[in-house]
Amino acid sequence: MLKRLSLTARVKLVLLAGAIAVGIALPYMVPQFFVGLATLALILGLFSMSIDLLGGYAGLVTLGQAGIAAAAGYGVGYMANRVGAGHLTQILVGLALGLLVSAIFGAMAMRADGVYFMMITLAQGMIVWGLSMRLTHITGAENGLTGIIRPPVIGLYWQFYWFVLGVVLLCSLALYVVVHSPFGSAVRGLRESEARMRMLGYNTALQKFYVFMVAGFFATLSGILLVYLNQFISPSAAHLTASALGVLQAILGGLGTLVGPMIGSFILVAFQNVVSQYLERWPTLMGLTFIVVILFAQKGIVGAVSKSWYAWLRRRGRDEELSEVARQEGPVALESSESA
Amino acid sequence: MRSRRMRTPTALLAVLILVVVACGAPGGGGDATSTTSGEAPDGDVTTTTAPAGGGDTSTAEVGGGEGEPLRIGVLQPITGAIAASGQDAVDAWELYWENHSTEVAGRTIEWRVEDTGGDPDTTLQKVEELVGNYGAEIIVGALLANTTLALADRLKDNPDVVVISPIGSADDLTQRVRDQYPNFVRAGGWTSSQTSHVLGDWAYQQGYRNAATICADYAFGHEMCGGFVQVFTERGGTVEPANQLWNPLGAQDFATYVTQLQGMDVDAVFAVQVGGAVADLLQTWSDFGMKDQLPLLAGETLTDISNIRNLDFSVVEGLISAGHWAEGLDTPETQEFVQVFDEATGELPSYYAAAAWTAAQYIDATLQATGGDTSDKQAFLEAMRELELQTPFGPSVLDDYGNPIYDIYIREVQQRDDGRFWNVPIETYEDIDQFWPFEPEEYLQQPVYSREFQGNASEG
Repeated sequence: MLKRLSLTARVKLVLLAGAIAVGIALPYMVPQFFVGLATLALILGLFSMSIDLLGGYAGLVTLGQAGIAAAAGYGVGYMANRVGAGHLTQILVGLALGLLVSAIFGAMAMRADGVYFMMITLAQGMIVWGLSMRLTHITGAENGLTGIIRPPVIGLYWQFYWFVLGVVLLCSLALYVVVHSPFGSAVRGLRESEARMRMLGYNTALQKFYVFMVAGFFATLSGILLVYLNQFISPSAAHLTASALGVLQAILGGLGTLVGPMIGSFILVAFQNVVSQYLERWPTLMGLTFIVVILFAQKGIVGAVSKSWYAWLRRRGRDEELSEVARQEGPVALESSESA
Repeated sequence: MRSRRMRTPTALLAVLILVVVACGAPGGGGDATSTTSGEAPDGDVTTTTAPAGGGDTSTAEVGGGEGEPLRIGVLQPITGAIAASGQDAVDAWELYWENHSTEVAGRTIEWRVEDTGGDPDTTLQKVEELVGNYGAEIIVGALLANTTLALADRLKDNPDVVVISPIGSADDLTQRVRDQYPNFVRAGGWTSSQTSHVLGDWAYQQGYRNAATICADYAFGHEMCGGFVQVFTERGGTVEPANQLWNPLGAQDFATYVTQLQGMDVDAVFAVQVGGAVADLLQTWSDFGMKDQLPLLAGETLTDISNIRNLDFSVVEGLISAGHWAEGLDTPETQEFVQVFDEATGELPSYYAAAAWTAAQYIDATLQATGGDTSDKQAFLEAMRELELQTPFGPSVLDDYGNPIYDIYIREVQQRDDGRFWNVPIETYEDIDQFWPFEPEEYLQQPVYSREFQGNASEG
């Protein structure tokens, strides 16, 4: 079966399998601290993927996704800290709250696009932040909510890591299915030309609402995972910074690639927690990295790598392979290498 | 075509997920203490042993035996909005150990500075790093109340770590929820309302009867403001609830607030701000000519030297505040520290700096008292509570709740001979604990100060 796949697809599969194998084996290879960081990176990666679905595929860059994730986290935190409910209730309330907020935000934003969409979502995210600062009785204001304990089955750090890995893999799979489904094509149509989509008879506002809800669902899941990782939530979880970091991760890794945001997330977490141990001016280095990526690799790390890969294929005279890629991925995939 | 391309990765992923689930099962199963197959992690619930076996440093390295280095994690915000204050604290911490031997009672003091960025979530990651990876036995931090709370909460069940909070001042950590944090102590620290209680009393003594307030709208502002309002009104003063203004944290334009204060029929204003808002408020206050019309009584941070050192002297001249720190205090301990800090950094030290220095002094003295033994953290804390130290803050002793009892100073901003200015004590309230002038039991009955509860006795 593998033989019928193109070289590109085979390389991708091998890389993916390698990454997953390393992911599974990680708790055996590195100390607790790094497993904790990997857990964080996976969760933030999932969060960033939900932004990628909107920003990379639908062309709707959001700056309020952290509001949705934080709403879900507060749902869990409130049930745990203030009500003392069981884990199932915590998770269900978290899910319900995240989805409810997504629905409200989606309905508000579904008729906007471009910069206007960005501004609306920015305001939405900050509304959640403002409420979490203001509703002291519910959210504990900036002191946050503590006393959130992970379910005992996934209580230990490595159990939780594997659980997160499993959830993130499932979600990635689901996202992969979504973006390659007819619905995914319609979503990409929104990005390419909303007017034409409307001409073709699509209710584009409704399409946007649907994709917002799907992205909101994954953001909700990431919010619930994050609150169980930190066992703590405070308004900074909903702040613009959190949303913007998610967008930056996606851009760094490559928008519209799904795997890019995950790579970006690992890089950002490494900067924040590992580089910072050796370099006090790590934000400077991080900023420089972003500038370099934006200047020289506009499609992010994944974009740059695939560009070099296609260039290599071309030099090797594998035109047959390239046309296969073009047939599978559409001419868009080759665009970057052709413009070089 | 499309569906076939999807099928292979899908199948592969499904298989791998199954593998994950299978691998996770032994540890995640009902009986986590039993050892399963050789490949499976030996999941011991009580000690957090890593699957690799013994890879967990929090149990492996924290011995506390004599001769081993004592590792201390210093958690401060050295990037972000409050980086200047955090950097002050880190500088003072390092200066202490430059001026004192790092060999204490047979232990070598080692530390690692980590950056909280002023964010609770980041703080939690750094706590994992310092305790789990570095092997810190003592954590000194953090700065903002929310990061301190996150830090204290994460480590409250860890008997191998002591949390020393010299700056983070959230009242409840040594008050109502004290029992939840058995390893938390504020050596070199304070509670937010501790100093404003004193200012409330002093204001009434000065003959002020009707005060307005303008405070930053978050927990620290609520607590400081409440401390002032409660004592001032219980003494007999009046604070109209409508005369309590709350500005959002990080407000930059105080013109509207100052205009509102102008229209109020009051004889004094109590104000608390932090960070950049301090300069904005004081400058506006001065620009509007209010400085000569209405006495401004400042909560400690409003005239902290780190917040006012770049202002013009005319803006801050003669401002009255209450604080546990007064860099103009004429004692050998204070002036030695001020001089060391000034020589090293070219600045007069803020309370953030004094607090970090004092925390180091506490650790130093406690180690000497226990002969370098840190194996029993509760015994270590007990030894710390017995100390009576002469610190840059003045005499300091810890109360039963883990908060220092200090002299609290009424301070005035005065010019030094070299042209710079600083806070000089003009009156001293001796031996003030976090409850003064109330009895602890009685005080702990009331809720912690919030925007809704200011302890206002003149209300209704």
